[in-house]
Amino acid sequence: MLAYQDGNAGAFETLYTRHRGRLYRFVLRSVKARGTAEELFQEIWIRVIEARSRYTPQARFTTWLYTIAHNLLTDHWRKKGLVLVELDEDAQAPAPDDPARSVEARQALSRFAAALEALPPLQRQAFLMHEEGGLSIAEIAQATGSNEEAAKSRLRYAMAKLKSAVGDG
Amino acid sequence: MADERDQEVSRSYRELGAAEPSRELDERILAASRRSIVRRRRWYGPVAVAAALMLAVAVTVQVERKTPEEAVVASAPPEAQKEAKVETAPAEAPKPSAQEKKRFTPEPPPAPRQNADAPAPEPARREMEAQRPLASAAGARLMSKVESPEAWLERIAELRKQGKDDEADKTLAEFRKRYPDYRLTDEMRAKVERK
Repeated sequence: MLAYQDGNAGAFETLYTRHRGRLYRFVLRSVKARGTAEELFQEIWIRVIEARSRYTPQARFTTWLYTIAHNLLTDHWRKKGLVLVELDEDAQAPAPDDPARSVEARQALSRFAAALEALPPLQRQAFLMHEEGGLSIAEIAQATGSNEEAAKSRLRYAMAKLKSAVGDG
Repeated sequence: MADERDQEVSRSYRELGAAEPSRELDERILAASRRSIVRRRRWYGPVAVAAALMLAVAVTVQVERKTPEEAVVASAPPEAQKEAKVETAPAEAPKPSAQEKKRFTPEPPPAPRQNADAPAPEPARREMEAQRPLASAAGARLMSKVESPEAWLERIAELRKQGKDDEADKTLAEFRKRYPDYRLTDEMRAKVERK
């Protein structure tokens, strides 16, 4: 990013090539609709471009990139009237000794996809940031503007639900 | 983090497919990044042009401040500049050839050359006399043609004829000072000397 800041167009292409697929899937699986995902994906990169002159490396570029993505998704959901609230996780989380978790490991993708889609937005984001962006708990917390405990909790619940879906046969 | 990662979930997630942005979308974004750099460079462009213009103006002003001869020398190649220096060197220095002179000495305005045979007004003549050491040999020759002894004597005779004896005496004295060995004929002596 610093090389791009210095006017090296090739540096941006390198960054873009490295992150395009993962970021695109992060956005696509957050909003589901391909058209909306493309608009948001483009907007994220436009913001990166616009922030070029004032960029200071305070965190890993990936964390910064997913922070922009998270903020745009939050705006998107707000515009659609969706409010990002924490659900009653205890009520939805499977019990640790839920027999469903130990049943089948290989499930139909449709069930997994449905489970991912059904995740509360913040849990889904935590999972996608972790899975696609390779962000740590601390980085997820930073990107989503929350504390590490909250990020850890979201990721844990998301993983538990998805694992449950995989195991449901 | 490793304890959070469930390989099974991760594998299932990967099986959803590796959706990617379209080529068209890639191109739009990459083009925007290139435009951003060009926009920034546009800021540098006018500054560079302005600096070049200022330099050009400064050089032009400097050249115009020099005399025409200096300007010609300044724009001449190094060898020519050496030759031009020779031209302004003391008299004992080798003189440049007529061709070189023509090359480096600006042409004089045509008007003075046309009037060279006419007698110069006295103040102008004195000025020309004062400049003589700096003038070229050709210029000195022209000066000698300003007024011949005979013409000078004719002028004195004319003054005498008009009754301007004092002026005629003075001019005759100047003549004798200038041409002490000039032998006047009896006829001319009768015309120029006071009776």
